[in-house]
Amino acid sequence: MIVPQEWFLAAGITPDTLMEQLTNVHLTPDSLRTPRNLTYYDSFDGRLFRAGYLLFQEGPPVRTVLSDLHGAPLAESSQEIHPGFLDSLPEEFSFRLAGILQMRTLLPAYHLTAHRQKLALLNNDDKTVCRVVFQVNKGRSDGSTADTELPSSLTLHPVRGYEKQAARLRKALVQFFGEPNALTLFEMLADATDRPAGGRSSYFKSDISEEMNAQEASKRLFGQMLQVIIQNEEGLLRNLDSEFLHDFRVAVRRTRAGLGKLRSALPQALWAHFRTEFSWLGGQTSLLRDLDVYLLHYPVYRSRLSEETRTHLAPFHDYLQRAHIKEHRRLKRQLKGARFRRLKQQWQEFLNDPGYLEAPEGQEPVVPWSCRLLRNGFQKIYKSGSRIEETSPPEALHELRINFKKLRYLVEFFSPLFPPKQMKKLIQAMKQLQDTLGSYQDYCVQVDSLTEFGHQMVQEGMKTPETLMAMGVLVEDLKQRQVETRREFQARFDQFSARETKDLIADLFSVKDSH
Amino acid sequence: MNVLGVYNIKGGVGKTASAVNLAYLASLEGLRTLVWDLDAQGASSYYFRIKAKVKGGEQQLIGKKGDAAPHIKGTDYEGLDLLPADFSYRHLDLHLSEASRPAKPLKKLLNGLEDEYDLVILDCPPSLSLLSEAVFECVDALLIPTIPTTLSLRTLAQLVSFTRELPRKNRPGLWPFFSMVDVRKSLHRKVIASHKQKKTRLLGPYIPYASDVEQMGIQRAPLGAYAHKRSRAGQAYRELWQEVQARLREGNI
Repeated sequence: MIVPQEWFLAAGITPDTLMEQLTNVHLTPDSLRTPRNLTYYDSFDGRLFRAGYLLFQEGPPVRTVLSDLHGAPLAESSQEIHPGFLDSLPEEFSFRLAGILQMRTLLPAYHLTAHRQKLALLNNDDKTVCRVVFQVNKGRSDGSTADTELPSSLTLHPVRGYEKQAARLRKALVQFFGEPNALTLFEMLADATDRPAGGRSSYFKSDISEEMNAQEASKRLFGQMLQVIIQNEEGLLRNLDSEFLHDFRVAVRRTRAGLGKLRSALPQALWAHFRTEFSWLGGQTSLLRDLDVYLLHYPVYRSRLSEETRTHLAPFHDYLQRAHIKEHRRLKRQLKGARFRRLKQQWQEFLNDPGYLEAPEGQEPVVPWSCRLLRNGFQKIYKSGSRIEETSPPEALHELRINFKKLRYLVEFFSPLFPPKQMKKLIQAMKQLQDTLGSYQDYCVQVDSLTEFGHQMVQEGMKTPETLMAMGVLVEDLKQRQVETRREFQARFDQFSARETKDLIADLFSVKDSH
Repeated sequence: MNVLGVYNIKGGVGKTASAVNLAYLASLEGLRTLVWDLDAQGASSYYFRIKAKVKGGEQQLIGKKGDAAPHIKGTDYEGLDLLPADFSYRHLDLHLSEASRPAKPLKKLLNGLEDEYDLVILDCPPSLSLLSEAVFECVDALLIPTIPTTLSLRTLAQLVSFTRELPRKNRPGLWPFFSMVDVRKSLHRKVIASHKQKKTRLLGPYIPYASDVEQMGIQRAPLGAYAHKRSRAGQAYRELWQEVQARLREGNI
């Protein structure tokens, strides 16, 4: 693969001045100055860029290119493509991106408006042996109205089989302009806009510090979670892909867990109000997320049925889609409504207020305070988990799961305060048990939901008993998986209760002196 | 990857012009295209302004460790490359006769290009030889430019008979088309009108005899790169390419 090399030029350099100034190589115009418009696509959270790919459409004439981060093409197509979900892309693109993009949709990220002129280095036969592309650039992130001027770029495009000539031209360019830039045009464009090249991740990484008191640390944490809620709001309202709602809900869930666990750092009247409001908000999104999950799982459901039976499942898919549209419309009304607007505004005001508001433990230094919360949290888990037996009802595992998840969030909130390697080890130990509890919960919910969906479909007038039978087969399969996962629980809990993990917890969160 | 050979036993029928022009049109459609100039005369290399020289000659290329990739040159047209001719190709038959199967060295070289190209067009020398037999075995189809005269059709019929003698798996598709057609000549008109080659798959468009095609030797470029968009020959090549492309897409060999 011949990799182009790129220089960025000082203002005022044009193709004519370039040809004049490079006296030891003779470049001639190889094309007229032509407009090029490029749109870069990526998922909201920049999955392609982070995996080392760029996907862009340029023209005229329009072509779609998948390249590495330096722009060296890996796949190209001049077919009409509207980048969206994975199935919008031709095979030569999708096989590379399947594991990366998954359920996210591609969205326009940046727009580059350029004027390009090609210059050629010719041999004695007037054959082009190397090319240089001079490009005047300006760009913006998607959604912005104004373009930002970017430096003009010069890209060396070697011609296959003429490597010596390319090396000669490169030497002349280096003599004049220095070495090619480390930054690519894409990175220059990203840096000049408000959208980071790696997209907007909803990944939570606490950045509290040990100098803070409990209230300061809590506000900082809630502020991070509010940012995630806000940044996913538009994608959720526009129903671009299911991950916007998922990330929105996770941020709401973390906020609610925080309100529960960090209560003592907050003024009580405010705490009670926001607890109610975030509880309302969480409740608004549950059904839509359930429907998203069933739609995402639908291919898996189909694969669990025989070929004959799965053909009868289609009405179930139609039902899910109709229900999804209806529920999205309802949620949209709530999110555009006054209550949510007020919640965001009031919460933001509280979090931005630098002053201290009276709270039971708000002024306590964050390190000893967090140690106490974590010690108590783990003690509670070990106590309730050890009481669960084979005959305990499903509700006992659900409650353990909820408390375990809240504890996991707490560990993540406070992780910058403790040694990173040990915290990583602890989170890994927690993950296995949490996954088993989560799977068990999922199967229980799916069994109930599929049964309920069946009832609703009958009420709505569905007349195909084969569909109900197919759903019945699925329910039995899910029940079986539920039983198997329940069996796994004891082993996982015993693993989590091992001496090594308990010692790690004791060591990390032992009583610490206040600073 | 599809491989097409442009071939006729007779010379001067428009093989090289057709190979170069069809390859150019293929590259404009986004197909990664390679022309392999197998003719020691190096005509398509000349058209592309590329020196007809392969380092080490045909011995290096066809030898046990032969690899086409290091010898390929980019043309002036994006997505279109050339594996140049070399004067030593006049000895190709000698080398191919030493192989257990004459087609084997050629197939090995072509297989090595599968990941890089969508289409390879072989510009074949005018002869019936071991090289041509090797080409027949390697290609999906032979494009056979044929001047509409009695003798040319007789030669075409001989080629058809010859390929029928080959084992089925080695038989290429035969896609003749009329080339260098001069509609002022009544013989040409009669032959085209009365042509009834039932057992061959004649391509519909014919290429007219045109001075702008002859200009290729002066311009040293494919016709589409310099001719006016209303050029009759240019239009004819575009129609020919569309039919070739349709057959390739449908697997209609």
